[in-house]
Amino acid sequence: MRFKMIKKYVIGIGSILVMALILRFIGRDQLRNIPHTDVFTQNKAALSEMTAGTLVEQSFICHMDVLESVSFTLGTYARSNSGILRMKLVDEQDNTVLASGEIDVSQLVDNEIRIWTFSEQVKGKKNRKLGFIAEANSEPGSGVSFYYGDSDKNDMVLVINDTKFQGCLGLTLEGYDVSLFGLYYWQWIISIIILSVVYMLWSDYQSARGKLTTATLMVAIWKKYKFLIFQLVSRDFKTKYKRSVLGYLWSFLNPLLTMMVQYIVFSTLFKTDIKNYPVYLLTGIILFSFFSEAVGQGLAAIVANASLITKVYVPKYIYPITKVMSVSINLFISIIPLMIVVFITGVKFTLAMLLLPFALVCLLLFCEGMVLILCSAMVFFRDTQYLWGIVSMVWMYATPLFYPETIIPSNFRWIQTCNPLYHMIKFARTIIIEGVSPSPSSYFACLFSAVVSCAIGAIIFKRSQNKFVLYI
Amino acid sequence: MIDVEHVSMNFRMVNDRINSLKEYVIKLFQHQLQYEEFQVLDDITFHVSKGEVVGIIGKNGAGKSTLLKIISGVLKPSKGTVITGGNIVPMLELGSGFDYELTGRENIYLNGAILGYSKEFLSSKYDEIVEFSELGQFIDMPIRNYSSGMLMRLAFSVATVVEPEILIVDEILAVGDEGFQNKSKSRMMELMGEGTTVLFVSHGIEQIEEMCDRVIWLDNHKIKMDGETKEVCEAYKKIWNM
Repeated sequence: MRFKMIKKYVIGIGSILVMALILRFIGRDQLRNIPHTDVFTQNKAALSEMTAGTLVEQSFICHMDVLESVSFTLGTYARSNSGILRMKLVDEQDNTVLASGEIDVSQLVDNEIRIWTFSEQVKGKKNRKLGFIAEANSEPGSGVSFYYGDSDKNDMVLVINDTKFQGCLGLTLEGYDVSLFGLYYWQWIISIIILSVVYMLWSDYQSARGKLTTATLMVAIWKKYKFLIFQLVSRDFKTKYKRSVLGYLWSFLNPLLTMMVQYIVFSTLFKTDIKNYPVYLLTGIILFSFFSEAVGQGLAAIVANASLITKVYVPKYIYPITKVMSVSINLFISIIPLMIVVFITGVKFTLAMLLLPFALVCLLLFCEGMVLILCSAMVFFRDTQYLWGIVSMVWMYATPLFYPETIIPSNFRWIQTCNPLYHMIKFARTIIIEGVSPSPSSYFACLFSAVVSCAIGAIIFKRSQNKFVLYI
Repeated sequence: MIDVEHVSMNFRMVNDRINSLKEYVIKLFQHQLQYEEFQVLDDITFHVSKGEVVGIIGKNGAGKSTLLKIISGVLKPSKGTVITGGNIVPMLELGSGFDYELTGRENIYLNGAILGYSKEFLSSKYDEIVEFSELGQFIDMPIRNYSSGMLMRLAFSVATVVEPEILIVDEILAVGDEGFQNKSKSRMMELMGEGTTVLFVSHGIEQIEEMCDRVIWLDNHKIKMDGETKEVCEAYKKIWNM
């Protein structure tokens, strides 16, 4: 008994530690640094020519922890110019020069985007007022010009030769923020371990007193109903392709064929914007079709089992939960064609692939929550299934499955930010296509949407389940 | 074994059943959502001890099936409590809990799992179930090809193989051909002899008279009579001029 208990704790702490080590190993830089891009404005028109004596100074507030580069567009009036353009990045609060660089104007192509990467990263200037200063020694008629646009922020001031100019230089700052999660990684892990140990001790203490905590209750339910869960899942899985000739092969073919069709239709439109378009497509298709299938089938789970629910006492949530589980088998099968396409398109298999289960588990939990909500609604309003058909279609177009996420205008970006599937699909794409770990905020977004959806689903289901029998 | 204490069941019935959101919203705005309290069971109290075979009789709509649902835990009573000791196995209606695409063998495991049996138990009793159902080689055939008699035999065999502590039977004894009917009847008798508590609902008064030790007569949502089979059945027959 004592040995069994100790074993449980060792397994618990050990598995957290192993996962933490793997995560640390895979996501070395990605966990610590979160990329940050600051676009000042949309280019509208060009300033006057930069000649000897012209001094352009753009002041701005730095919003990121580490600055790496600044990029801008220069117009050459489509002629060959001469001279040197000198640039400085200064801290306007204590007048120190943070970086300086120069461009040989004669080398420039018209409207070329120049990226000036600082020779040393600029650190520790967050929320300070910085200035970008440019001057040139070109003769009149052989200078270049900066582009500018409307300034919508008060802290942006553009000064040309000591006179204030209405507008803002078209600069784009690149850098990154230091993530608190990455900075204090082991502190986080240790507190997670402490919390789980405390919870396990609490559960043991409560069960010794004959009470159940959520975790021990779940273990008890699993022990009691695992045979039923297994039977129901295998029933769904066995009958899915029962009378088809190709059978389980359809789980392979379906995503592949969809991908081929979409590839042929959309490749000329979006191909150039997206790295490895086939894999990009297939990842989105597989995850999204799992979502729509799981929810679409799961929402009928209570109504379809009406004859059993009115006769036998089985916890009612077993039906929707097993439905999602049986659809998820399909998801796991369709990972195989994904891996084949990954292999064919020549993406390197990296250790980051080990993070894929995290995205899948979050997606699964998110679906469970959605299904619990919708199958309760379905009992009272049969319209739910038709509504879901529409909603899932809108959802599909709102999620960047076949188009690049950048084509959504910035004032509609919130649609993506609020879309849990966007985060999960992006998570999977980062792992597979880039071969690196996503940023800590992606982990958080996935986990958060999964937990919130499950919690809401559980509450709604629990509140309404006693009325089910009266309505089905 | 079964303690039913002051159980009342109220349904809140909407005057028309509303099945869609549109209807609901329209009715809500027209203030036509009238609910009507409808009492199905009114302060029912009785005790069944281990091994008793209790028949429940009454007119249509007297609340027999609701009472069974409350005892088996599917419905929660509005008032009162039900305490049961031991596992309850309901005899399912024809085919519910079966999947027609699966074979008889797979359905035995599926249906058994739904009824709450463990895997080890089903594996050990599997041969017995097949033998009792007289399905023989058909057991590995998808049950959509079965006749209704075959289905019923399978359902009956799965439900009764267990020696459940409490068996709930809702009008399904006329199973299969004459031979199987006798066999199932004797199986029921055997179960009762082994100490299974049986709750039995039927309109067939002869069946009740034949099998039950005690009869509860529900009328107008209350217990009208509770006593020896003979006594209750006679009173019941009198009402119906039988």
